[in-house]
Amino acid sequence: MSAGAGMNSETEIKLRRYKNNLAIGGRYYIIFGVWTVVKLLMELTMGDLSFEYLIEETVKSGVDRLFAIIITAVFIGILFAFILIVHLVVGRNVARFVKRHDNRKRFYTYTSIVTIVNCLGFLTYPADIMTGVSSLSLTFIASLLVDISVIFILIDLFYSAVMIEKLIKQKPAVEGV
Amino acid sequence: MTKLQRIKEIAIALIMILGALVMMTYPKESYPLIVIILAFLFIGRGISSIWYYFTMARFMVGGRESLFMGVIWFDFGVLTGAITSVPHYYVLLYLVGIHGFSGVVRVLRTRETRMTGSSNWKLTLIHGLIDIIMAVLCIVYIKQIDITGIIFGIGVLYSAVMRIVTAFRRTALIVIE
Amino acid sequence: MQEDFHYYATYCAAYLSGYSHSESLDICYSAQFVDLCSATYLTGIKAPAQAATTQLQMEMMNTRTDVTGLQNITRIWAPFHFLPRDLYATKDKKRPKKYMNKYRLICGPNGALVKDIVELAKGKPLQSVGIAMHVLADTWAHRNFAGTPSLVINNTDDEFYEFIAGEDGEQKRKIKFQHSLSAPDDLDKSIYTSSLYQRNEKNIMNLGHGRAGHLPDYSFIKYMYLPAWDDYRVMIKDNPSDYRHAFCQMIYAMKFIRGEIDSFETDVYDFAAIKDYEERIDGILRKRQLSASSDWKAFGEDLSGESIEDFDVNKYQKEYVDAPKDEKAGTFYGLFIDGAIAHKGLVCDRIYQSGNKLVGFVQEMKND
Repeated sequence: MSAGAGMNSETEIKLRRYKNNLAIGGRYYIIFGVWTVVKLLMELTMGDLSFEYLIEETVKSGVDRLFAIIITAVFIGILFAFILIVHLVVGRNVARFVKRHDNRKRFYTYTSIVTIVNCLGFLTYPADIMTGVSSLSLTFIASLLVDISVIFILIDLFYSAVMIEKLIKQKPAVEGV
Repeated sequence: MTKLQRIKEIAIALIMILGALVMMTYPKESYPLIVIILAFLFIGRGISSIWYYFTMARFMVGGRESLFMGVIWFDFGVLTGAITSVPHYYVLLYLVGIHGFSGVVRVLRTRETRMTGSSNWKLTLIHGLIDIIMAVLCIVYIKQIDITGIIFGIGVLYSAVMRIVTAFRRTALIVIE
Repeated sequence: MQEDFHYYATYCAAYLSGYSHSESLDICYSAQFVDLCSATYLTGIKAPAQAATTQLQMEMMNTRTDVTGLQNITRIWAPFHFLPRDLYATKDKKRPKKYMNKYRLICGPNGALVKDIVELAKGKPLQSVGIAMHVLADTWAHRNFAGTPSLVINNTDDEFYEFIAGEDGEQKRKIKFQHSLSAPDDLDKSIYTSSLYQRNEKNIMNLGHGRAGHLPDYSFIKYMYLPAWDDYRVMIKDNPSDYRHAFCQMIYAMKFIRGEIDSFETDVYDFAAIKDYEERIDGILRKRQLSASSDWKAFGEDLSGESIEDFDVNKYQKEYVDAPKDEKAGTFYGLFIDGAIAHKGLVCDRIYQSGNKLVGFVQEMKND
């Protein structure tokens, strides 16, 4: 038999849906972060923008080769760490928002910042096509898909969080799953 | 497994053995073909998962996972295909990464396999450790393509033998009647 | 459901509906045999494998999940253990046919097919009655799951809660699932076995109620979970109530089959037949135990005053094996086989006629 009217009221059903969306969105935001780092590593080791290229560019500025290697490695290390930390922090804040709902301000602040940054980054796609920097290759489409997915996740995180708060306000004494 | 499935597994294993022998004999020429095949497999997996989301999983609680995983697999496949134009030892590094990652995952899953009460955990652990050892040896001898090719070929041979062993092994399933 | 209900409880229901002790034994044996009559068993006694009413674990492991394999799986599980509730069910928003085919196989009580299978058993041997009673009972226990491998239908989330009656009312306790075949369910700590999550839509682990473990088969348990298919609605499964309904519906159905009632309608239950035994039956249903066989057996023996032998899967094997070819159809297994084939044919045909090709095409076998 299905649950009583309380547990399956429209409000409760919607709450479950949005909480589930948040949970999945948060988890996959972290996974996309890890994937971004892995992808960058692959491109740095095997793509055009390789370690070697970066080191050569650094050497051209007049520094010692060993120093260039160290600087490049440190810079890339910091970049990777930054990407991972950002994704982890946002992802974990989402998880906490779902479970305890006591980090509202932090959740909205972090999610807003990364959403804006990602949307701005997304604008480079049409710009690259128009200026001829990129072509409509499979690689381009794949990257576009990933970024669309990330932006979708972030916007959905926002939307789901707002809806959850709205629903909770409507019915303060609700039981959720 | 049915007889047909066993035949299929053994056929794949024989192809792997053939591939391993070719790799050990012609290490420089065989890498790009392997990568192309891998790329198509990953792209296919990605498209299949995305299609599954739109036709089925979007109606399921938590179905979005299929969409996001599909995007990642697609991106991974495209990236795999895009690196065939790079020097051989970078491709090898990439293949080593896959084996190394796969080995780490297998070792981590040993605990899970043990907890499910399956007796296959020892096999899983050994397979994982060999994957990792093979990856490490490939990195140690990375500049010596011929030696690396032999090491990698041995790894593929081992995987092929494991596939034959698994084809005749019974896997415990929990089926609730 | 398991042996306690399919064998012993079915005996009790048969006896209460007016069947004699020996007739009740034949009915309950057939009802329980549905859970054991596999292709392997039938092949072993040189009986037609198409009469299989279940699949063993080994058979499931060896079954392919391509189109033909899925049809073979669905042809067994949907008719005998997960009878579809509504083959023409619709959703509020249009969904692809591929999805709806699986959705329409969701099992539930009081569907049109329940009436069909009970009417099919009328005028047939007791073995057919047993088959019908097994399937009818399972529509209550296995409701909300489908007899075809499907992640989008049979998956659940991990949040299962058990309602445990206490002095201060019902307490909600989170259920912990383990995935080991060897470890028994721990009722005191609410630790139960279930199948692992498998992302593949057609994986055999996504067949039936695997994700809920044996919970549907325990009469005592009332629990709550979130199924994959019901748009984020939670399901509260009240097994004591469902099993009671199943029991009383079986009595009503068997009275119809015996000819005591003119017609069989769904959603009708013979509660009057159990009014003198309410407390005892309720006690059996709500007792926290892995198997209620001994309690149902004791009840059945008190009802009839006769001894109920333990279920022996090979009881009628010799009779079938030793019978000449032209006399096999008249043996116990022969009658069961005919009943199973007729039942399977009816249900699969209904599914196919509804436009659902998950069971493939059905060819009716006529006995000359």
